[in-house]
Amino acid sequence: MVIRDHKFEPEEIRVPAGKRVSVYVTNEDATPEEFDSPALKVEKVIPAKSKGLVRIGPLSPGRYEFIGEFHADTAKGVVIAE
Amino acid sequence: MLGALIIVFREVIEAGLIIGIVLAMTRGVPGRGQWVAGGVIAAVLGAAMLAIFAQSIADAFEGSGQEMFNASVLGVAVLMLMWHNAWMASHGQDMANSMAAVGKAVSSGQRPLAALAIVVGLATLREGSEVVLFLYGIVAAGASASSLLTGGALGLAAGAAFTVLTYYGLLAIPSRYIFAVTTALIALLAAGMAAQAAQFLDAAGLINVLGERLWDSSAWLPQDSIVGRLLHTLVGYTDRPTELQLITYLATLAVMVALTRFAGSKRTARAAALTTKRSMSSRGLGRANK
Repeated sequence: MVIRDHKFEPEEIRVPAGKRVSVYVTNEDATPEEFDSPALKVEKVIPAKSKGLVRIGPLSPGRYEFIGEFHADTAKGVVIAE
Repeated sequence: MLGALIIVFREVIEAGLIIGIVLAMTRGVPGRGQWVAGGVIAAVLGAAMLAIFAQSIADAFEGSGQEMFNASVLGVAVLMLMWHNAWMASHGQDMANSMAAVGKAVSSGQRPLAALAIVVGLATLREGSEVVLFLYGIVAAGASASSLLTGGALGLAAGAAFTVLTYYGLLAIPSRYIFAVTTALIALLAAGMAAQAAQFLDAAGLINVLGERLWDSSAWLPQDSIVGRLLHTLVGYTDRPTELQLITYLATLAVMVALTRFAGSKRTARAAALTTKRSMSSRGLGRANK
């Protein structure tokens, strides 16, 4: 997953339910971002121009929203576990 | 601007709450201002360093450096709080009860102050590094930065005002209850921190058990709301706790209570021994007079 212009790409990712999943988030912006999601229980700063590893799950099937806390108006996304 | 204000405020209230509680607990202890200010200043400098080295920290431990760092910071803070409560249980009441002991308390009071200064510093460090990164991002973005920066500054000021509010709120508690209230507050604070540390270890991939979610109260009281955040800091409120978090929380509370009881009973035993010695010597004196 990539952060570009304070947006996540893609904004929707699908993961298998009941498994631990590692998501690499690459921040291509010149500013840091914080991957934040109480639903996924993740709070992780991803510095500018760098890559961060976010571990999620195991999740029960459903929708889990996340935001980039430093640009919450544009950086939004959702993890769908199925 | 409002966005920046809210983000910064949300990050600083956790540290603000802890500083307010520590200041209220140590009222009347000489030198507490220097200790607490020292903790905060060291932490702000540390936060700036952290922001600079954010990349290398994140890359450490196969990409889990940030989680490991957060878990360690929280872990140390929990240990400091445990030690502080145990120390207060064995000495604090003596200090409060005996006016004659004030002189002694001045010197011995420095020890728990150091522990509390470390706790203040660690709390400020964690939240502070996020504020620094966020503000740095605003500055780096250039252009419309000034209004965002104003928002950030106002957020900091609001956080400071909140600290003052916490402080005076606690001082309104009658002094004979303040010891019990702050001891309980510290125990809950530590339990919440321990549960949070456990979650960071889980996120780092170090713990892979008991990850089952116990309940979801995010619809009623979301953890990222202001009230949710306050409760999160104060009593460790989590809207979607895992088994691991609840177990860690309860275990920390149990250890806290046991430590305080143990230290308290040692104090009672010491006091009893002192009384016996006194009564024996006074009896001895009585006989000599006859």
